[in-house]
Amino acid sequence: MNRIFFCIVLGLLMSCKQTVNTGFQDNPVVESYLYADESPTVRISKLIPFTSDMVLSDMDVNKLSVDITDVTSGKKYALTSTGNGAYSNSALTISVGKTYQLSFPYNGQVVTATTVAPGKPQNMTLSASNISIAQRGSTVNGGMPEMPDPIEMNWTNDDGSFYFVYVKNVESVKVPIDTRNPNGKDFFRNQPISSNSYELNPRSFQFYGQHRIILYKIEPEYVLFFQENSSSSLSISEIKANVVNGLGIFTAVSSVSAYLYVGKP
Amino acid sequence: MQKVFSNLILIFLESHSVGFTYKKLFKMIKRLIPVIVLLVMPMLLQAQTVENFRLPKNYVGRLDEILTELGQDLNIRFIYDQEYLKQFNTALMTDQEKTVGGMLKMFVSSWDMVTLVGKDGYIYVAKDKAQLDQLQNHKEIIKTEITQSRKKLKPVKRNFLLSGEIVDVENGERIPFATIVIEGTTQGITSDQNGHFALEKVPADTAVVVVSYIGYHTKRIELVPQKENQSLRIELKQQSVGITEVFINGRKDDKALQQSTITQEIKMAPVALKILPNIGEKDIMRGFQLMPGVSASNEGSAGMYVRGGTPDQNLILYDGFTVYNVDHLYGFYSAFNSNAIKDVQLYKGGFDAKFGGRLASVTEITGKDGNSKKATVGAEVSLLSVNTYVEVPFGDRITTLFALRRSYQGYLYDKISALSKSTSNTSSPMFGGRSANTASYFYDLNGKITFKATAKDVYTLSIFNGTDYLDNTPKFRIPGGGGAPPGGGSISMDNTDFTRYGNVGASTKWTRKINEKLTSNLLSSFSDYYSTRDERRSITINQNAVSSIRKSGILEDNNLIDLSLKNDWKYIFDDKNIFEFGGYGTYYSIKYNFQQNDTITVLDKAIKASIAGFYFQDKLSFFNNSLTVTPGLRLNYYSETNKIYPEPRLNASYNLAPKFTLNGATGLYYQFANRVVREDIMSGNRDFWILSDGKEIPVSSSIHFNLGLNYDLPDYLFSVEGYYKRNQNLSEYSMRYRSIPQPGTAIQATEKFFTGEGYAIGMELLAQKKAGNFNGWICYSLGQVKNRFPLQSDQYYFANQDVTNELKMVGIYKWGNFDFSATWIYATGRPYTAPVGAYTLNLIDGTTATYYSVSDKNSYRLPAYHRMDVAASYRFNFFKQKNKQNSVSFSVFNLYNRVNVSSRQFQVVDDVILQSDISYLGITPNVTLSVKF
Repeated sequence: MNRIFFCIVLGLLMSCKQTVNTGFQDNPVVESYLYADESPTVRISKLIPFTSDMVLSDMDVNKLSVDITDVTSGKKYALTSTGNGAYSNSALTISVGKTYQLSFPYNGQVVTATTVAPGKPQNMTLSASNISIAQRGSTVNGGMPEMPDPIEMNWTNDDGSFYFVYVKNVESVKVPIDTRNPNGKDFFRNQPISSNSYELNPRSFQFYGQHRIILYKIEPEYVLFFQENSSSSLSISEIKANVVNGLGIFTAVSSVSAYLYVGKP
Repeated sequence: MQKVFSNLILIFLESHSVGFTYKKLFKMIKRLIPVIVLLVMPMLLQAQTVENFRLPKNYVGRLDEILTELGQDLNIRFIYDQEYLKQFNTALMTDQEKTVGGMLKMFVSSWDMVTLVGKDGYIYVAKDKAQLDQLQNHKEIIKTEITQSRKKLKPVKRNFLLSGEIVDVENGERIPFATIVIEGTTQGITSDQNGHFALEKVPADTAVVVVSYIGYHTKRIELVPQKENQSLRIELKQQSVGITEVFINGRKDDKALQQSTITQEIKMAPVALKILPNIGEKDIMRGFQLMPGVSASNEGSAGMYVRGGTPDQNLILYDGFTVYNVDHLYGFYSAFNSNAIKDVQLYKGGFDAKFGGRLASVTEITGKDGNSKKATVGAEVSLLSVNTYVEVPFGDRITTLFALRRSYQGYLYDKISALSKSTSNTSSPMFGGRSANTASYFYDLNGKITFKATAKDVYTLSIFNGTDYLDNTPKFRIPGGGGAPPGGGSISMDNTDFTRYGNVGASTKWTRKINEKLTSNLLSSFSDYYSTRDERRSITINQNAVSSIRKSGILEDNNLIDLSLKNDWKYIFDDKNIFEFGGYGTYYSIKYNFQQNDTITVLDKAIKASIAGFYFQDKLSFFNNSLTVTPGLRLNYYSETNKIYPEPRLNASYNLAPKFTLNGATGLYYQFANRVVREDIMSGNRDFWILSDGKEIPVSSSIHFNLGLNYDLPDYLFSVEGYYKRNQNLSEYSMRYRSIPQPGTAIQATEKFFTGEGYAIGMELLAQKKAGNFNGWICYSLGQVKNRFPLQSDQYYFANQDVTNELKMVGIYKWGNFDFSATWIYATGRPYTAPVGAYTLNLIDGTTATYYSVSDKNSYRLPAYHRMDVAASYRFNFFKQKNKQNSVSFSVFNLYNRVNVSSRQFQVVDDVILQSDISYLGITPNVTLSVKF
């Protein structure tokens, strides 16, 4: 009796094993940023498979027929491999306002991606060209230092385009503002915004000296890559940007920059 | 002794020169003697000895009390009908009856009683042979209300209305949902929430009424013929309090959970929960999770996943008001203190028209009124919390109960807290190298005042507050000397990291029994759910008379207010036609605000809306109560959409054959207030309550189809139930863009509600042993829940709560004053999404980031969940207390320390995707001491 019962229970438990449909496909990863007045570069790579049963195709990323079409004029430019999955063509120069389409066959499918080269950000201003921040460290005993007012950045944004701000210390010798933290990051950036202003918080600066403030105008497809990226099974997800039959990004970017000096009082 | 005896016979035979044959025969007998003596002697000795026991003293008084005392004095056991014997007042004298045998002879000669000294060692005293048989079968003291011999009785009334109330004999507590049946018929009814019942067309006033309620002894009452209709007051006795009696009472109904055979419903007796294993608290929600149809594998939620539904699809009513939050301590415990709860009913689906507003199920909780006979104080201490309650009656009409439970930051609290933090991926806050001190706790408070103004009017006021306060705010101060900014002035810093959530609710109820057939309940209620999560850092600098405040971090605030008025009516035409109807109105005000860096409001919703409507249902019985059909309709008007939502309902049960019951239910259900999960990658997902607006968040709906078959034997129950549910307009929320955003939509301010649909299908098997010192159940559920949110996936995918197989075994063994229990749970792992690949991009700013290509949504399964919990509890008395229930219980959660996985983390290291598991609670022992004065 017990044996029969055990068998029934075991049978019930075993009978309902799920078959896993993983959805794995060997799709190529594209990485390409188009800048106005520059020639395009495209890097193509393969996915890192999660498990050994997810088999990649034998496609060679250095032997692909990659081309970029100037959709506006209809002219197609073939890119040549420069090794490590990179492709370029110096005959093509990216022009503002034009639409470009990437295309290459991969593993039985045609991978395509389209982007529009945005114009440069207009009328960017900074509320100050230099600020003073007192150096802090062990001598200050951890007290809160005086901070200057935030630096206001403004630009024109009539169509709700996406922008982000990137700030980098360009000094060759890095002098930390907080001597207890000499190895801080020498750059910072914000999340994309579709507004026409941004406040630079003086606390974000880690080093003294000249800083390059770059205002990037980006296309909507690139916004997705700024989002918090989960590594938990509870919320992991895939970014579906503009590469059809592939992963990654093919997008055009434009930028303007200004300088800000951070000095001691 | 046998040897001496046989030798004597041998000598006797030899001395009388008996021949060879006798000697041979004797040798055979000699070999058999030890066996015979062994078999017969105890019976002879006992029978002889007990009857010859001398009365140690004179006894005067009521016969049942005399036998109790005599039993204790002589350490012998009497079995009798207490109600019958207590009619006799007598005296037993050492110089008259002299012995137990003499006493029994006197019973026979004086009162025509039938007595028997049983082979089982019990002494039976009965009024007649039939009762003797009954006593021998039960082997326990019974209490049957006696008047005179039933045979001689002639009914005065026929087809009359029998009404009354059912109360607890110990504390006068009214018992809701007890079953009242006329013995030998199918005629019966259930008491209402106030313990009242009215049973029409009782065949004769000589009938026998059988009253039963889970966790109590079943009582058999022989009615007394009389001209006037008198309301019956039936007192039931709790199972577990019989320990001071001479004999162990029957265990027939001693179970914590009971599945109904006529509706798809589970009843629970919180008083019996203490015998089940627990993780520090006996918990009604965890108790239900042991029954079929309620998923048991989600340790992080006290809310119930009923038949593929989510916890927010389960309506929780506490004394009439809706409770919106049931979680304490990240969901490991429910907010309900079982010491303050009298009764819990869980309707797993296809519920009646009197309930509405939820898609999946209803949990109806009735709080205790409080002891009406005497003041009582009780306390419990476990490794998690301290729990006290006070019950004080004021006069005959007012009873009060207050219960307070508060956790303390001991071993269990810290263990679960640490575990939950690791699952939500948060790190403990640090500031300036100093780690944070944490001060966190939960508490709940229950209070109830009941005023029985007249025999027909009862007023109750019930309040409930359950709150969690999780504070991880760092405690630090600015070091001396460096606190002031250069140039003078002052700086103050305020770093907060606390989460506070809970629910406060109250209801006032006026129950009026207009006549025996018509009752009315007027209920006004208030419920406020609040949840605040403040992880802001602010720095205030006062310099040169100018104060500047810098703030960063997040502030999330959700508040729901529910003001309701309900009026329920019940008219009992007869036991074949019970009509219920009522009207209700609810005013909702829900606010949700989510801010980042004090300035950017990510989401701000404030909706005020009203729902009003009415319902009616008619419970009709046909074919000698074999078929019961309850059609019903609920009509809701929702102000936000300005639409009417009709909800037709149908419930039916049919007795296919004796002991075989078929039940079925169908209905349409709407839900207007939804709890939406907000995906939060950095700090773990959070959820918030929000009202449907008919646009972004549509009104969700569900259609249920349920069918069940039960085979109900006196000691066993076998049941199989199946269900299918189709859900529409389910909502999810994400702050992330799932597709390329449109220009002009700021990423932080995006409101992204997704609408989808889904279905749940499944079957449940239950085999339950209801009686005996060893009882318990085995249940198995097979189910599938799939959803489809078009913006996320075109295909149906397994919902997060999908569990294919679930097997649960519960065993309870009673041995004297000990209760042992063990539970084992097996469940298929929940579905999850895993990466199939990863890639790294160099971003414009020069940084690199890793991204994943993922599997089809929820196409993987976590490893199977299983664990065993065991418990042992011992009941005892302090200082010769009588009928006081004290206990000490020891339980071990996850006995074999199974590492059950709650989720998985992924990381790319050197072009390899590594996987690590976040696990649930490992082996956790607990001790609970419970005392009552």
